[in-house]
Amino acid sequence: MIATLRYEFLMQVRRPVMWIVYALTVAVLLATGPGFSTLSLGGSDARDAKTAMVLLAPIMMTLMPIVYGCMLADRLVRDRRLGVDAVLDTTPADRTGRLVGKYLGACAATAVPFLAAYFARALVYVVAEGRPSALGWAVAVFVTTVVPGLLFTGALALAGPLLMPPMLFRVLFVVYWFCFVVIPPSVLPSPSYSIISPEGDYMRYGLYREGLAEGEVYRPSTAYAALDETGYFNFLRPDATPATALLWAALMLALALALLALVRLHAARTES
Amino acid sequence: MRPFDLWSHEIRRAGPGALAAPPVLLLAITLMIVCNGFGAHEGSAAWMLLVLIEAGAPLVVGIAAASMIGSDRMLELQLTAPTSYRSTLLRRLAVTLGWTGVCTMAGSALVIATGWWDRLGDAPQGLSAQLTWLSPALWMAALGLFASAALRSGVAATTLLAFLWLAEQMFGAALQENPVTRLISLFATTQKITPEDWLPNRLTLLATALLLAAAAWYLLGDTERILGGEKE
Repeated sequence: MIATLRYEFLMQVRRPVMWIVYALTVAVLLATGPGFSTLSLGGSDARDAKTAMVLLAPIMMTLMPIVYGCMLADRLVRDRRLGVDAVLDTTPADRTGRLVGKYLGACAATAVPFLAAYFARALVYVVAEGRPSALGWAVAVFVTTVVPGLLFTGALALAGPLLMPPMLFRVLFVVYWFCFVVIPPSVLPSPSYSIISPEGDYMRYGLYREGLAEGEVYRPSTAYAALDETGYFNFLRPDATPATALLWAALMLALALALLALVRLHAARTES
Repeated sequence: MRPFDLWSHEIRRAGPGALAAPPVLLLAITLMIVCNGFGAHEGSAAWMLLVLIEAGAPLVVGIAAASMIGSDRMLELQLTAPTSYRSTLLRRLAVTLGWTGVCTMAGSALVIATGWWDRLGDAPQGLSAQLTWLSPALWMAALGLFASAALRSGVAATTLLAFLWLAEQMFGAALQENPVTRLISLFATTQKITPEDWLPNRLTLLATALLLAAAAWYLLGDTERILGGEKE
Protein backbone atom coordinates (compact mmCIF):
# COMPACT_ATOMS: atom_id res chain seq x y z
CA MET A 1 0.00 0.00 0.00
CA ILE A 2 2.76 2.44 0.95
CA ALA A 3 4.64 1.67 -2.27
CA THR A 4 1.51 2.23 -4.38
CA LEU A 5 0.77 5.42 -2.46
CA ARG A 6 4.26 6.75 -3.03
CA TYR A 7 4.26 5.85 -6.70
CA GLU A 8 0.77 7.23 -7.40
CA PHE A 9 1.64 10.43 -5.56
CA LEU A 10 4.82 11.00 -7.55
CA MET A 11 3.15 10.06 -10.84
CA GLN A 12 0.38 12.61 -10.37
CA VAL A 13 2.40 15.37 -8.74
CA ARG A 14 4.91 15.34 -11.62
CA ARG A 15 2.21 15.80 -14.24
CA PRO A 16 2.88 19.22 -15.76
CA VAL A 17 -0.68 19.68 -17.04
CA MET A 18 -2.07 19.38 -13.54
CA TRP A 19 0.00 22.36 -12.43
CA ILE A 20 -0.82 24.30 -15.59
CA VAL A 21 -4.56 23.77 -15.13
CA TYR A 22 -4.43 24.73 -11.45
CA ALA A 23 -2.38 27.83 -12.26
CA LEU A 24 -4.88 28.91 -14.91
CA THR A 25 -7.86 28.32 -12.65
CA VAL A 26 -6.33 30.19 -9.70
CA ALA A 27 -5.65 33.05 -12.12
CA VAL A 28 -9.33 33.02 -13.14
CA LEU A 29 -10.30 32.93 -9.47
CA LEU A 30 -8.10 35.96 -8.77
CA ALA A 31 -9.40 37.86 -11.78
CA THR A 32 -13.15 37.21 -11.56
CA GLY A 33 -14.09 35.69 -8.23
CA PRO A 34 -14.40 38.62 -5.86
CA GLY A 35 -14.02 36.38 -2.80
CA PHE A 36 -10.49 35.08 -3.21
CA SER A 37 -8.77 38.47 -3.24
CA THR A 38 -10.88 40.16 -0.57
CA LEU A 39 -11.65 37.12 1.62
CA SER A 40 -15.26 38.10 2.02
CA LEU A 41 -18.51 36.57 0.89
CA GLY A 42 -21.09 39.24 0.36
CA GLY A 43 -22.30 40.51 3.71
CA SER A 44 -19.78 38.90 6.03
CA ASP A 45 -16.52 40.80 6.33
CA ALA A 46 -13.26 39.22 7.38
CA ARG A 47 -12.92 41.07 10.66
CA ASP A 48 -10.46 38.81 12.44
CA ALA A 49 -7.99 36.08 11.56
CA LYS A 50 -10.37 33.27 12.41
CA THR A 51 -13.24 34.60 10.27
CA ALA A 52 -10.90 35.25 7.35
CA MET A 53 -9.61 31.67 7.37
CA VAL A 54 -13.08 30.20 7.91
CA LEU A 55 -14.26 32.14 4.85
CA LEU A 56 -11.26 31.06 2.77
CA ALA A 57 -12.47 27.45 2.91
CA PRO A 58 -15.89 27.97 1.22
CA ILE A 59 -14.29 30.33 -1.30
CA MET A 60 -11.92 27.54 -2.35
CA MET A 61 -14.46 24.75 -1.97
CA THR A 62 -16.97 26.34 -4.33
CA LEU A 63 -14.96 25.92 -7.50
CA MET A 64 -11.61 24.24 -6.98
CA PRO A 65 -12.95 20.71 -6.29
CA ILE A 66 -14.09 20.68 -9.93
CA VAL A 67 -10.44 20.81 -11.01
CA TYR A 68 -9.51 18.30 -8.34
CA GLY A 69 -12.23 15.83 -9.33
CA CYS A 70 -11.71 16.13 -13.08
CA MET A 71 -7.95 15.65 -12.76
CA LEU A 72 -8.54 12.53 -10.65
CA ALA A 73 -11.20 11.04 -12.90
CA ASP A 74 -8.86 9.12 -15.21
CA ARG A 75 -6.59 7.62 -12.53
CA LEU A 76 -8.37 4.31 -12.02
CA VAL A 77 -9.60 3.58 -15.54
CA ARG A 78 -6.18 4.46 -16.90
CA ASP A 79 -4.66 1.26 -15.48
CA ARG A 80 -7.09 -0.84 -17.43
CA ARG A 81 -6.70 1.11 -20.65
CA LEU A 82 -2.93 0.84 -20.56
CA GLY A 83 -3.17 -2.82 -19.57
CA VAL A 84 -0.95 -2.44 -16.52
CA ASP A 85 -3.64 -3.71 -14.15
CA ALA A 86 -3.11 -7.24 -15.46
CA VAL A 87 0.60 -6.94 -14.71
CA LEU A 88 -0.02 -5.46 -11.28
CA ASP A 89 -2.47 -8.27 -10.48
CA THR A 90 0.38 -10.77 -10.78
CA THR A 91 2.38 -9.02 -8.06
CA PRO A 92 2.02 -10.20 -4.48
CA ALA A 93 0.59 -6.78 -3.52
CA ASP A 94 -2.83 -7.04 -1.94
CA ARG A 95 -5.59 -5.62 -4.14
CA THR A 96 -7.32 -3.69 -1.38
CA GLY A 97 -4.01 -2.23 -0.30
CA ARG A 98 -3.29 -1.21 -3.87
CA LEU A 99 -6.66 0.49 -4.21
CA VAL A 100 -6.27 2.39 -0.93
CA GLY A 101 -2.73 3.37 -1.85
CA LYS A 102 -3.88 4.58 -5.24
CA TYR A 103 -6.75 6.54 -3.70
CA LEU A 104 -4.66 8.21 -1.01
CA GLY A 105 -1.65 8.81 -3.24
CA ALA A 106 -3.54 10.29 -6.19
CA CYS A 107 -5.84 12.36 -3.95
CA ALA A 108 -2.92 13.72 -1.94
CA ALA A 109 -0.99 14.65 -5.07
CA THR A 110 -3.97 16.34 -6.71
CA ALA A 111 -4.62 18.24 -3.49
CA VAL A 112 -1.04 19.63 -3.40
CA PRO A 113 -1.73 22.60 -5.73
CA PHE A 114 -5.04 23.14 -3.92
CA LEU A 115 -3.15 23.22 -0.63
CA ALA A 116 -0.52 25.52 -2.10
CA ALA A 117 -3.14 28.03 -3.28
CA TYR A 118 -4.92 27.85 0.07
CA PHE A 119 -1.86 28.38 2.22
CA ALA A 120 -0.41 30.98 -0.14
CA ARG A 121 -3.58 33.03 0.36
CA ALA A 122 -3.35 32.46 4.12
CA LEU A 123 0.30 33.60 4.12
CA VAL A 124 -0.55 36.72 2.13
CA TYR A 125 -3.17 37.48 4.76
CA VAL A 126 -0.68 36.92 7.59
CA VAL A 127 1.90 39.24 6.00
CA ALA A 128 -0.59 41.92 4.91
CA GLU A 129 -2.55 42.03 8.16
CA GLY A 130 0.26 41.07 10.54
CA ARG A 131 -1.76 38.35 12.27
CA PRO A 132 0.31 35.17 12.57
CA SER A 133 -2.51 33.40 14.41
CA ALA A 134 -4.24 33.09 11.02
CA LEU A 135 -1.80 30.31 10.08
CA GLY A 136 -2.98 28.17 12.98
CA TRP A 137 -6.59 28.79 12.01
CA ALA A 138 -5.75 28.00 8.39
CA VAL A 139 -4.36 24.59 9.37
CA ALA A 140 -7.34 23.85 11.63
CA VAL A 141 -9.89 24.88 9.00
CA PHE A 142 -8.07 22.94 6.30
CA VAL A 143 -8.05 19.73 8.31
CA THR A 144 -11.64 19.99 9.51
CA THR A 145 -13.40 21.52 6.51
CA VAL A 146 -11.41 20.94 3.35
CA VAL A 147 -9.94 17.47 3.94
CA PRO A 148 -13.24 15.60 4.56
CA GLY A 149 -14.81 17.25 1.50
CA LEU A 150 -11.84 16.40 -0.69
CA LEU A 151 -11.70 12.79 0.57
CA PHE A 152 -15.32 12.26 -0.48
CA THR A 153 -14.93 14.08 -3.82
CA GLY A 154 -11.79 12.05 -4.55
CA ALA A 155 -13.56 8.74 -3.96
CA LEU A 156 -16.43 9.90 -6.16
CA ALA A 157 -14.06 10.90 -8.95
CA LEU A 158 -12.26 7.56 -8.83
CA ALA A 159 -15.44 5.48 -8.73
CA GLY A 160 -17.57 7.36 -11.28
CA PRO A 161 -15.59 6.64 -14.47
CA LEU A 162 -15.86 2.88 -13.82
CA LEU A 163 -19.54 3.11 -14.72
CA MET A 164 -19.34 5.44 -17.71
CA PRO A 165 -16.81 6.98 -20.10
CA PRO A 166 -14.65 9.61 -18.33
CA MET A 167 -15.98 12.29 -20.69
CA LEU A 168 -19.56 11.65 -19.60
CA PHE A 169 -18.45 11.44 -15.99
CA ARG A 170 -16.88 14.89 -16.15
CA VAL A 171 -20.10 16.35 -17.55
CA LEU A 172 -22.16 14.65 -14.84
CA PHE A 173 -19.65 15.66 -12.16
CA VAL A 174 -20.03 19.33 -13.08
CA VAL A 175 -23.82 18.93 -13.16
CA TYR A 176 -23.68 17.23 -9.75
CA TRP A 177 -21.52 19.97 -8.30
CA PHE A 178 -23.74 22.70 -9.70
CA CYS A 179 -27.13 21.16 -8.83
CA PHE A 180 -26.35 19.29 -5.62
CA VAL A 181 -23.62 21.31 -3.95
CA VAL A 182 -23.40 24.99 -4.81
CA ILE A 183 -26.86 26.02 -6.04
CA PRO A 184 -29.03 27.51 -3.29
CA PRO A 185 -31.99 25.22 -2.50
CA SER A 186 -34.28 28.18 -3.11
CA VAL A 187 -33.60 27.89 -6.84
CA LEU A 188 -33.74 24.13 -7.25
CA PRO A 189 -34.93 21.71 -4.59
CA SER A 190 -31.78 19.63 -4.08
CA PRO A 191 -29.68 18.38 -1.16
CA SER A 192 -27.21 21.25 -1.52
CA TYR A 193 -25.83 22.73 1.71
CA SER A 194 -27.07 19.65 3.56
CA ILE A 195 -25.18 17.23 5.75
CA ILE A 196 -24.26 15.05 2.76
CA SER A 197 -22.91 17.81 0.54
CA PRO A 198 -19.13 18.24 0.60
CA GLU A 199 -18.78 22.04 0.67
CA GLY A 200 -18.47 22.18 4.47
CA ASP A 201 -21.06 24.68 5.66
CA TYR A 202 -21.63 22.58 8.75
CA MET A 203 -18.06 23.20 9.89
CA ARG A 204 -18.31 26.87 9.00
CA TYR A 205 -21.44 27.48 11.08
CA GLY A 206 -21.43 24.53 13.46
CA LEU A 207 -17.87 24.35 14.69
CA TYR A 208 -16.51 27.82 13.87
CA ARG A 209 -19.81 29.70 14.27
CA GLU A 210 -18.92 32.19 11.55
CA GLY A 211 -21.00 35.38 11.71
CA LEU A 212 -23.25 34.08 14.49
CA ALA A 213 -24.13 35.96 17.64
CA GLU A 214 -23.65 34.43 21.08
CA GLY A 215 -26.17 31.63 21.61
CA GLU A 216 -27.51 31.88 18.04
CA VAL A 217 -27.89 28.61 16.13
CA TYR A 218 -27.64 28.41 12.35
CA ARG A 219 -30.58 26.50 10.87
CA PRO A 220 -29.91 25.50 7.26
CA SER A 221 -33.49 24.25 6.95
CA THR A 222 -34.90 27.74 7.42
CA ALA A 223 -32.02 29.78 5.98
CA TYR A 224 -33.48 29.52 2.48
CA ALA A 225 -37.11 29.23 3.48
CA ALA A 226 -38.05 32.60 2.02
CA LEU A 227 -38.18 31.15 -1.49
CA ASP A 228 -38.00 27.40 -1.03
CA GLU A 229 -41.54 26.26 -0.48
CA THR A 230 -40.88 22.56 -0.91
CA GLY A 231 -38.20 21.72 1.65
CA TYR A 232 -37.94 18.17 0.26
CA PHE A 233 -34.45 17.68 1.63
CA ASN A 234 -34.79 19.48 4.92
CA PHE A 235 -34.55 16.18 6.79
CA LEU A 236 -30.89 16.26 5.68
CA ARG A 237 -30.40 19.70 7.17
CA PRO A 238 -30.23 19.49 10.96
CA ASP A 239 -29.25 22.60 12.89
CA ALA A 240 -25.53 23.37 12.67
CA THR A 241 -23.88 22.56 16.01
CA PRO A 242 -20.41 21.21 16.84
CA ALA A 243 -21.96 17.74 17.02
CA THR A 244 -23.54 17.93 13.55
CA ALA A 245 -20.30 19.37 12.21
CA LEU A 246 -18.47 16.27 13.42
CA LEU A 247 -21.31 14.13 12.05
CA TRP A 248 -20.81 15.81 8.66
CA ALA A 249 -17.09 14.95 8.69
CA ALA A 250 -17.87 11.36 9.72
CA LEU A 251 -20.47 11.08 6.96
CA MET A 252 -18.00 12.35 4.36
CA LEU A 253 -15.50 9.70 5.45
CA ALA A 254 -18.16 6.99 5.55
CA LEU A 255 -19.40 7.89 2.05
CA ALA A 256 -15.83 7.87 0.73
CA LEU A 257 -15.26 4.43 2.27
CA ALA A 258 -18.54 3.15 0.84
CA LEU A 259 -17.54 4.34 -2.63
CA LEU A 260 -14.14 2.68 -2.31
CA ALA A 261 -15.82 -0.55 -1.19
CA LEU A 262 -17.96 -0.40 -4.33
CA VAL A 263 -14.86 0.10 -6.45
CA ARG A 264 -13.27 -2.92 -4.75
CA LEU A 265 -16.39 -5.02 -5.40
CA HIS A 266 -16.41 -3.90 -9.01
CA ALA A 267 -12.78 -4.99 -9.33
CA ALA A 268 -13.57 -8.35 -7.71
CA ARG A 269 -16.44 -8.91 -10.11
CA THR A 270 -14.33 -8.24 -13.19
CA GLU A 271 -11.31 -10.15 -11.92
CA SER A 272 -11.97 -13.36 -13.78
CA MET B 1 -20.62 6.91 -51.31
CA ARG B 2 -17.37 7.88 -49.64
CA PRO B 3 -18.64 10.94 -47.75
CA PHE B 4 -21.58 8.93 -46.47
CA ASP B 5 -19.25 6.22 -45.16
CA LEU B 6 -17.08 8.80 -43.48
CA TRP B 7 -20.05 10.46 -41.80
CA SER B 8 -21.56 7.21 -40.57
CA HIS B 9 -18.14 6.26 -39.23
CA GLU B 10 -17.84 9.56 -37.38
CA ILE B 11 -21.31 9.13 -35.87
CA ARG B 12 -20.14 5.84 -34.40
CA ARG B 13 -16.80 7.34 -33.35
CA ALA B 14 -18.40 10.27 -31.52
CA GLY B 15 -18.69 7.97 -28.50
CA PRO B 16 -21.56 6.92 -26.28
CA GLY B 17 -21.12 9.94 -24.02
CA ALA B 18 -21.55 12.50 -26.78
CA LEU B 19 -24.52 10.60 -28.20
CA ALA B 20 -26.26 9.97 -24.88
CA ALA B 21 -25.82 13.35 -23.18
CA PRO B 22 -28.06 15.51 -25.47
CA PRO B 23 -31.15 13.24 -25.15
CA VAL B 24 -30.58 13.26 -21.39
CA LEU B 25 -30.63 17.05 -21.53
CA LEU B 26 -33.89 16.94 -23.50
CA LEU B 27 -35.28 14.49 -20.97
CA ALA B 28 -34.33 16.82 -18.11
CA ILE B 29 -36.13 19.71 -19.82
CA THR B 30 -39.21 17.55 -20.45
CA LEU B 31 -39.25 16.25 -16.87
CA MET B 32 -38.89 19.78 -15.53
CA ILE B 33 -41.92 20.87 -17.59
CA VAL B 34 -44.01 17.80 -16.81
CA CYS B 35 -43.29 17.97 -13.08
CA ASN B 36 -43.95 21.70 -13.02
CA GLY B 37 -40.41 22.56 -11.92
CA PHE B 38 -40.38 19.93 -9.15
CA GLY B 39 -42.38 22.27 -6.95
CA ALA B 40 -39.87 25.14 -7.07
CA HIS B 41 -41.03 28.73 -7.16
CA GLU B 42 -42.44 29.52 -10.64
CA GLY B 43 -39.80 32.13 -11.45
CA SER B 44 -37.02 29.81 -10.28
CA ALA B 45 -38.39 26.93 -12.35
CA ALA B 46 -38.54 29.07 -15.51
CA TRP B 47 -35.02 30.25 -14.79
CA MET B 48 -33.78 26.65 -14.34
CA LEU B 49 -35.31 25.74 -17.72
CA LEU B 50 -33.41 28.62 -19.27
CA VAL B 51 -30.21 27.41 -17.56
CA LEU B 52 -30.75 23.94 -18.99
CA ILE B 53 -31.10 25.38 -22.50
CA GLU B 54 -28.42 28.04 -22.33
CA ALA B 55 -25.79 26.17 -20.32
CA GLY B 56 -26.57 22.49 -20.92
CA ALA B 57 -25.64 22.36 -24.58
CA PRO B 58 -22.33 24.28 -24.15
CA LEU B 59 -21.22 21.92 -21.38
CA VAL B 60 -21.87 18.79 -23.46
CA VAL B 61 -20.40 20.13 -26.67
CA GLY B 62 -17.43 21.78 -24.98
CA ILE B 63 -16.32 18.71 -23.05
CA ALA B 64 -16.90 16.48 -26.09
CA ALA B 65 -14.74 18.79 -28.22
CA ALA B 66 -12.04 18.96 -25.57
CA SER B 67 -11.72 15.19 -25.26
CA MET B 68 -11.68 14.47 -28.99
CA ILE B 69 -8.05 14.81 -30.02
CA GLY B 70 -5.87 11.74 -29.87
CA SER B 71 -8.55 9.34 -28.74
CA ASP B 72 -8.17 7.23 -31.87
CA ARG B 73 -6.26 4.01 -31.95
CA MET B 74 -3.38 3.77 -34.38
CA LEU B 75 -3.37 7.49 -34.85
CA GLU B 76 -0.08 7.25 -36.73
CA LEU B 77 -1.80 5.27 -39.42
CA GLN B 78 -4.70 7.67 -39.62
CA LEU B 79 -2.34 10.61 -40.01
CA THR B 80 -0.94 9.06 -43.19
CA ALA B 81 -4.40 8.76 -44.77
CA PRO B 82 -5.37 11.17 -47.57
CA THR B 83 -8.20 12.58 -45.42
CA SER B 84 -6.53 15.08 -43.14
CA TYR B 85 -6.96 14.46 -39.43
CA ARG B 86 -8.25 17.93 -38.69
CA SER B 87 -11.10 17.56 -41.14
CA THR B 88 -11.90 14.23 -39.48
CA LEU B 89 -12.01 16.04 -36.14
CA LEU B 90 -14.22 18.78 -37.54
CA ARG B 91 -16.59 16.19 -38.98
CA ARG B 92 -16.77 14.47 -35.61
CA LEU B 93 -17.36 17.79 -33.89
CA ALA B 94 -20.10 18.59 -36.40
CA VAL B 95 -21.82 15.31 -35.53
CA THR B 96 -21.77 16.16 -31.81
CA LEU B 97 -22.80 19.76 -32.42
CA GLY B 98 -25.57 18.77 -34.79
CA TRP B 99 -27.00 16.13 -32.49
CA THR B 100 -26.84 18.41 -29.45
CA GLY B 101 -28.37 21.20 -31.54
CA VAL B 102 -31.31 19.03 -32.60
CA CYS B 103 -32.01 17.99 -29.01
CA THR B 104 -31.64 21.50 -27.59
CA MET B 105 -33.81 22.99 -30.33
CA ALA B 106 -36.49 20.42 -29.55
CA GLY B 107 -36.15 21.29 -25.85
CA SER B 108 -36.42 25.04 -26.46
CA ALA B 109 -39.40 24.51 -28.78
CA LEU B 110 -41.05 22.59 -25.96
CA VAL B 111 -40.32 25.36 -23.48
CA ILE B 112 -41.71 27.99 -25.87
CA ALA B 113 -44.79 25.91 -26.74
CA THR B 114 -45.72 25.28 -23.12
CA GLY B 115 -45.50 28.98 -22.31
CA TRP B 116 -42.59 28.75 -19.85
CA TRP B 117 -40.46 30.96 -22.09
CA ASP B 118 -42.90 33.88 -21.71
CA ARG B 119 -42.64 33.68 -17.92
CA LEU B 120 -39.01 34.76 -18.19
CA GLY B 121 -39.86 38.41 -18.69
CA ASP B 122 -37.47 39.99 -21.18
CA ALA B 123 -36.20 36.78 -22.80
CA PRO B 124 -35.38 37.12 -26.51
CA GLN B 125 -38.19 36.25 -28.89
CA GLY B 126 -38.40 34.77 -32.37
CA LEU B 127 -35.66 33.04 -34.30
CA SER B 128 -32.86 34.88 -32.48
CA ALA B 129 -33.96 33.09 -29.31
CA GLN B 130 -31.99 30.12 -30.60
CA LEU B 131 -28.81 32.17 -30.22
CA THR B 132 -29.36 31.70 -26.48
CA TRP B 133 -27.70 28.32 -26.65
CA LEU B 134 -26.01 28.39 -30.07
CA SER B 135 -23.48 31.14 -29.30
CA PRO B 136 -22.16 29.74 -26.01
CA ALA B 137 -22.20 26.20 -27.43
CA LEU B 138 -20.06 27.16 -30.42
CA TRP B 139 -17.78 29.22 -28.18
CA MET B 140 -17.23 26.37 -25.72
CA ALA B 141 -16.67 23.88 -28.56
CA ALA B 142 -14.07 26.14 -30.16
CA LEU B 143 -12.37 26.75 -26.82
CA GLY B 144 -12.37 23.00 -26.09
CA LEU B 145 -10.73 22.19 -29.38
CA PHE B 146 -8.22 25.02 -28.98
CA ALA B 147 -7.36 24.15 -25.37
CA SER B 148 -6.80 20.49 -26.10
CA ALA B 149 -4.63 21.37 -29.10
CA ALA B 150 -2.66 24.00 -27.19
CA LEU B 151 -2.20 22.04 -23.95
CA ARG B 152 -1.85 18.74 -25.80
CA SER B 153 -3.95 17.03 -23.18
CA GLY B 154 -7.62 16.16 -23.26
CA VAL B 155 -7.79 15.87 -19.47
CA ALA B 156 -6.44 19.38 -18.98
CA ALA B 157 -8.79 20.82 -21.60
CA THR B 158 -11.91 19.13 -20.19
CA THR B 159 -10.98 20.20 -16.66
CA LEU B 160 -10.50 23.80 -17.76
CA LEU B 161 -13.83 23.82 -19.55
CA ALA B 162 -15.62 22.29 -16.61
CA PHE B 163 -14.09 24.91 -14.33
CA LEU B 164 -14.91 27.77 -16.68
CA TRP B 165 -18.50 26.62 -17.04
CA LEU B 166 -19.02 26.56 -13.30
CA ALA B 167 -17.11 29.81 -12.73
CA GLU B 168 -19.31 31.55 -15.30
CA GLN B 169 -22.36 30.22 -13.51
CA MET B 170 -21.15 31.43 -10.13
CA PHE B 171 -19.42 34.70 -10.97
CA GLY B 172 -21.01 35.52 -14.34
CA ALA B 173 -23.01 38.33 -12.76
CA ALA B 174 -19.72 40.08 -11.91
CA LEU B 175 -18.82 40.05 -15.63
CA GLN B 176 -21.93 42.11 -16.39
CA GLU B 177 -20.54 45.14 -14.56
CA ASN B 178 -17.75 45.82 -17.05
CA PRO B 179 -18.77 46.80 -20.62
CA VAL B 180 -15.95 44.71 -22.16
CA THR B 181 -16.44 41.51 -20.16
CA ARG B 182 -20.19 41.93 -20.62
CA LEU B 183 -19.66 41.12 -24.29
CA ILE B 184 -18.03 37.75 -23.63
CA SER B 185 -20.19 36.61 -20.73
CA LEU B 186 -21.28 33.11 -21.75
CA PHE B 187 -24.56 32.78 -19.92
CA ALA B 188 -25.75 36.34 -20.32
CA THR B 189 -29.40 35.41 -20.82
CA THR B 190 -29.72 33.59 -17.52
CA GLN B 191 -27.76 36.33 -15.77
CA LYS B 192 -30.25 38.92 -17.01
CA ILE B 193 -28.07 41.08 -19.20
CA THR B 194 -29.74 44.32 -20.31
CA PRO B 195 -31.80 43.56 -23.48
CA GLU B 196 -29.87 46.01 -25.72
CA ASP B 197 -26.56 44.30 -24.84
CA TRP B 198 -27.86 40.82 -25.51
CA LEU B 199 -27.41 40.66 -29.29
CA PRO B 200 -23.92 42.26 -29.27
CA ASN B 201 -22.91 39.73 -26.61
CA ARG B 202 -24.16 36.79 -28.72
CA LEU B 203 -22.46 38.07 -31.87
CA THR B 204 -19.17 38.73 -30.06
CA LEU B 205 -19.26 35.17 -28.78
CA LEU B 206 -19.77 33.86 -32.32
CA ALA B 207 -16.90 35.99 -33.64
CA THR B 208 -14.49 34.96 -30.88
CA ALA B 209 -15.53 31.35 -31.37
CA LEU B 210 -14.51 31.67 -34.99
CA LEU B 211 -11.13 33.06 -33.93
CA LEU B 212 -10.57 30.25 -31.44
CA ALA B 213 -11.56 27.65 -34.02
CA ALA B 214 -9.15 29.19 -36.55
CA ALA B 215 -6.34 29.05 -33.98
CA ALA B 216 -7.20 25.42 -33.21
CA TRP B 217 -7.27 24.61 -36.93
CA TYR B 218 -3.79 26.11 -37.29
CA LEU B 219 -2.39 24.19 -34.30
CA LEU B 220 -3.92 20.92 -35.52
CA GLY B 221 -2.01 21.24 -38.78
CA ASP B 222 1.07 20.20 -36.83
CA THR B 223 0.90 16.40 -36.74
CA GLU B 224 3.63 16.18 -34.16
CA ARG B 225 1.44 18.14 -31.78
CA ILE B 226 -1.34 15.59 -32.21
CA LEU B 227 0.92 12.59 -31.74
CA GLY B 228 2.88 14.02 -28.83
CA GLY B 229 1.42 15.42 -25.67
CA GLU B 230 0.16 13.61 -22.66
CA LYS B 231 -0.94 10.07 -23.14
CA GLU B 232 -3.37 9.61 -20.32
